[in-house]
Amino acid sequence: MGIETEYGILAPDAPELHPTVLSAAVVAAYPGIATGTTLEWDDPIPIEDAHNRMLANGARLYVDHAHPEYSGPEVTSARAAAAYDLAGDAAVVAAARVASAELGVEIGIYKNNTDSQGASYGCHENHLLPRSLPWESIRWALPAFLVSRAVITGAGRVGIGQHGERSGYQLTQRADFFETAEGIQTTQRRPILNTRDEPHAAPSRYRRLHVITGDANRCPFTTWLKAGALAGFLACLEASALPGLELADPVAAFSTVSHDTSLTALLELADGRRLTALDLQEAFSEAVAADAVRRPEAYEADVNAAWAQVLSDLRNDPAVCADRLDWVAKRELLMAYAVRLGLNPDDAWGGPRLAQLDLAWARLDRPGPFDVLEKAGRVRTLVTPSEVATAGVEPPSDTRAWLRGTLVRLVPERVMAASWDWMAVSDTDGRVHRLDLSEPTGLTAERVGAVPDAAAVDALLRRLA
Amino acid sequence: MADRVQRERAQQRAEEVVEAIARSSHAVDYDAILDEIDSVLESDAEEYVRSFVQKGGQ
Repeated sequence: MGIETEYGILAPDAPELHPTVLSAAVVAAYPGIATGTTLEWDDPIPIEDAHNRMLANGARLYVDHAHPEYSGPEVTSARAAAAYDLAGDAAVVAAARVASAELGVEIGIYKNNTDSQGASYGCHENHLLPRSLPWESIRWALPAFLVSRAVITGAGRVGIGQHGERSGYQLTQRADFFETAEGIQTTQRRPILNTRDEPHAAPSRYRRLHVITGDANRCPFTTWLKAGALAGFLACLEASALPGLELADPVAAFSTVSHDTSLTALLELADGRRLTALDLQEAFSEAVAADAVRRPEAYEADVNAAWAQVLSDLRNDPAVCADRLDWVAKRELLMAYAVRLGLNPDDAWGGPRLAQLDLAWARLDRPGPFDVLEKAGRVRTLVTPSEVATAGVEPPSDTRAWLRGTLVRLVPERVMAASWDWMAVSDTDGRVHRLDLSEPTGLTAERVGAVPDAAAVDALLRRLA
Repeated sequence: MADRVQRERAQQRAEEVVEAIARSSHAVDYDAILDEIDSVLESDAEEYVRSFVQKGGQ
């Protein structure tokens, strides 16, 4: 699995700089070890511009639709997904700092998904599935899960509607931007079920599930649970062990769930039953727990336990999840802020002060409200700062990202081209070797063996090519 | 019997009180945090919110 994030970017003092130019400057300025900015990319990734870089941790940093985007490396656990997600935040902030100094303008980096002025940008999740799992099963099962998980994965948002035209607080940043049930597009008329199926691996064996409904999260716990619960749900789907829960209208239900901070709204199912998002999540969580008894090796036990606990806490008193879930942590803070300002919380949602705090919450390049909460011990830490630092410079050892990252770390100037499933690397004589990385769990640290330094790369290339 | 029921009820009340205290301590003490947050927020909220415009996105 892997998580990719498009970051909001803003240079308030230089409105003449187009955000694509700003984003390119940020990507080019990344100060860590990475490939150059002029790599050639094979299909299916189009060459949008020259700013595509592979990092020493196996991730990709590039410009996408006027935003800097970080695609984390392929990982096999929710914990690793969360660590590499935080490493991405750090990489983009470090790059923006250098670009800011070079250009002489302040560059703000935001981990949110809308400007409340009509634009939305995504945080996409990718999960590898066996080709043998029919799309019909996914289409049958996934919408109810993706819609109902907003009670966990929502990053919280001040404002309702694509332009924030109505005042109020909702669970997610993204829900108001989804208009269709199924489709391949991602920039307009966004679908709950995205059918883009570029496995970046042997298509006869694998499918890539591309999920575009999620929010970018600040709480590491939320990111971890978002990745882990979806992985568990998919494992349960593969085992045909899920309950039949199909929503009558997933698009409408997504808005309903997102706009309902009381978590009591009833959603209509295709069979006429009416259940809340919490009911649906509990049914999925219980099915996963039951299958995990039969096949413990297919699941992460700590994810399943945390998932059940969060759902139980949300049912009893959502406020106790302020240490774990973005939308709750932010709402508690916003309400306390409204009280301090002498505002009636119900009236304050439309004013600029709470919208300002919402934006400041997402801002990564300077200390903000989230950092203050974290420092005060109010947000549960999941990965240590040293784990995040390691994830910034070392690839995961148990996927092909290990080979990609290792080669970038040792010989970045000799990586001539790279995609997720192949690389072209030249040896010291200038001969270019094309490496096949099509098996996602193929060229791991264990399979490749030790590559101590750049001098060992020639022998490795001869062996693999 | 009645004694035991009473003891259990008292015990239950005590637990409820402890829980309520835990919850209220969870819900308050934002003051120091908000002091610090105030110091990192831009002074012109309206201008800041209005100027946050993004182009496109997936």
